[in-house]
Amino acid sequence: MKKWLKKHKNFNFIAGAIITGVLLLTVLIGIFATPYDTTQMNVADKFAKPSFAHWMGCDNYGRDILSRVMEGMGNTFLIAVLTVLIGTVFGVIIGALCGYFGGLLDDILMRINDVLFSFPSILLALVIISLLGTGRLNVTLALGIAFIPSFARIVRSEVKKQCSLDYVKSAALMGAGHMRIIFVHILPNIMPVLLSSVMIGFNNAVLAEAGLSYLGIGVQPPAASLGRMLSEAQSFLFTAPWYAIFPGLVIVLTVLGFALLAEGTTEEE
Amino acid sequence: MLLTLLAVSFIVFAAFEIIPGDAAVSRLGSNATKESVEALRAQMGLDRPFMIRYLSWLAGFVKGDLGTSYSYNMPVSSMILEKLPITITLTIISMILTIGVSIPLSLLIAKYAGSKFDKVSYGVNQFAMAIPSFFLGILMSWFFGMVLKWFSPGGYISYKKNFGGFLSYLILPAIAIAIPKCAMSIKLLRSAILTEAGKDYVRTAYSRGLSTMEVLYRHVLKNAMIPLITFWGMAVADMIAGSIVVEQVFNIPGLGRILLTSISNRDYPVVEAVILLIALVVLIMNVVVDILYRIVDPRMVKDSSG
Amino acid sequence: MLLSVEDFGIEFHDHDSPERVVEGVSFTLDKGEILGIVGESGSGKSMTALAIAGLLPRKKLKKEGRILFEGEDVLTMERHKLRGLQGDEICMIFQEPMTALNPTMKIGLQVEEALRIHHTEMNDAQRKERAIKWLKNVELDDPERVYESYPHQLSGGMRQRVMIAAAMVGNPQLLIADEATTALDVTVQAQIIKLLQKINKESQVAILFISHDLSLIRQISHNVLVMQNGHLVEKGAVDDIFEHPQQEYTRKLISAIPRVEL
Repeated sequence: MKKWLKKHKNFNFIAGAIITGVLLLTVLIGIFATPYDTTQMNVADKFAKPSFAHWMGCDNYGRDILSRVMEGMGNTFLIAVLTVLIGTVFGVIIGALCGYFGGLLDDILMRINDVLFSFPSILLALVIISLLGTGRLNVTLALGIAFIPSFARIVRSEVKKQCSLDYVKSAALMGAGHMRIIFVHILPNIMPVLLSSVMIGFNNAVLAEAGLSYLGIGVQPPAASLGRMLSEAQSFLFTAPWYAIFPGLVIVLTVLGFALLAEGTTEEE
Repeated sequence: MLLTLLAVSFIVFAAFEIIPGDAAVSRLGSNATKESVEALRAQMGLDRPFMIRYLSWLAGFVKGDLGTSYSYNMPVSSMILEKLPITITLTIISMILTIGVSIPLSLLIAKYAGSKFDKVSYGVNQFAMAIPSFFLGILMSWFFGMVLKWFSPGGYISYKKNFGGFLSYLILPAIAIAIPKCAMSIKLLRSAILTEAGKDYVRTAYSRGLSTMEVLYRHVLKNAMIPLITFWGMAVADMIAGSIVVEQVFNIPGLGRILLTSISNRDYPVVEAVILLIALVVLIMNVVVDILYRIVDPRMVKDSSG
Repeated sequence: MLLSVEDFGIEFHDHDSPERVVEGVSFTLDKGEILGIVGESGSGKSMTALAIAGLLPRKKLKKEGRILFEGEDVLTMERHKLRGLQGDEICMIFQEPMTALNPTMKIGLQVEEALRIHHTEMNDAQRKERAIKWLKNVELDDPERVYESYPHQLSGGMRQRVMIAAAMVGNPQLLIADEATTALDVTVQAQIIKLLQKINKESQVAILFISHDLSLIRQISHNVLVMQNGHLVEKGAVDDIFEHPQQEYTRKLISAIPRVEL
């Protein structure tokens, strides 16, 4: 381990792994148990300051903020993971087919994709939500769809690059079918690029979800969500600044952890 | 570009067509009589075929007539026109801040590449990139508004009443929007500067007796900014999106406010118009980026004398 | 005597163990002289040239000995003083004319740049006049047009002429040409050599001509240094070296010249 560390000295990767690891562990614990009930109101603890009993203090209903942050993180992580999953799966399929076959369909899809790609994903999601309605499932769907263009674009250009390489030609010569070439030969070779864009995509999803929930069109109460907590906390900034600071800090750490991980993995290449 | 805009407008219009729910019904309430709903549909033009409605909507859009808001019963164009300057000003200030701060800072960081200063600023930068603008906005309105009491949060000043006050109220939101983008710019620009600094023409410049700062400013910077142009072009659209959220934080009645209220009111003409407007901005930025490329990088210009 | 290199050496320190790339090199260069340095790649000839031009990095590198330019040591000189020499008294042209010019800056501005820094008393018109004069001097057709061009619009040979013009614009005492013709076609090479000889005669600039190509060295130089593995193997007048080489290595180099002389 010491030797490995000395050899790699990959500070980014290690720091990112630690931050992400701690947060993931917190989420995992939060699924099974939180220090307090997340919806239990307690007038006596209204706006309690951070203390040993309540590490992050309490909100306007006397609910324990740490417990709600744990639940909110879980929601945020879940939505972000599903979002990236939808974006990646469809993005890879569309991008790979377009990049491999090219042609008119590719032209048309990519023209549209270019506009959608430069269209901010949070706006795209906002449009889709206005069509689908609010709620956790719809937010996930909306964000997932909004993330397809960027993945499709990356995958397409990578597939195009790979197609000009000799190993693809030789695989075709050996009689491999199109689907086999795409998914067995090409896809593993674009994994590193895909992996780092998945991590960046995860971050964008976390940020977008937090933004949407802050606007009140993401996760609906009484379920906890980091973005929602921030918008509620804003009314009590003067009396209880910690109510806003802790959920916000958790968002920052989540994004920071993943950004460092992504940076670290690309350094390893 | 026009073709793309046409395609986008069609998608936007069609998307709002296929959603369930009838605008006339939702306006009159579910217990309205069938006749009154039909009458309203005719008045709103909803009884005509889809393509005809699309074309007339498009024709109206070209003429600057964006339709009538369902919920406010006033022209969408005047609603948007009143709010547009707010969001545009906010975006412009953020953009100026982003570019104005990131260029000198990344030159400074690149000059001391590999030093402790470089490492510390790398850390600060990564952290700044991870902060969502709206959280930054909340922190800033708490710190500057409540702890230091420099301004009153939520005390937006209309640009019609007091333009100076309006601008100074927009500074903090603009900073909140700019900081993450600025951090990203610095990161990209630093590495672009270092790539350029390793090139031969830099050595040539040194051989003429230029100092490091002169080499960076006169030679490296312009070349290093080429890859940043695309990023900044896209940042404009991102900032408009970011301003929608940040406007909420600072209680600014801009484009974001209209979009959000019209989404929750299912006021589709307004939503459609705002979206199409932003799509237009995106496309215009693409063209601007193209033009800027040609200005900055002479190699992009097809030249017959070559 | 313009330049005197005394017991010069370079030691790299960026790896675990220090690495000597140049050791014990001494030679002198007179005003108006053309001195050729010949050697294989890795012989230390380019490092020596960069050191004279003051372009070696200051870190990770130990320099020994002295490089006296008009009696002052370039190696220990204060930075601003060194910058005063660079581009004004000592100029350098490089191997790759394709990349040695800034791609986004007009040729004219690059040619004028040395004047802009060292001759602040000149105004724009005077600078332009001088730049055009030198573009004409390096035998570029239509110097006015070249002045307004960007590097990518010129051929490799034209760019190297531009580089020479940019170097000569401040009337320096010393021009260092580091493999300046290596990347060019043979015919263009010959033209550039002739051009350098003409400039040397007309403006009495001393030239340090560095190349791995012995036939070019023989053609242009008055005196020759032969370097190998960071050491000076042999030095002398060009005819002596080529007619009566003293060292085994020099003999080997000379016998390797392809004998297709015209």
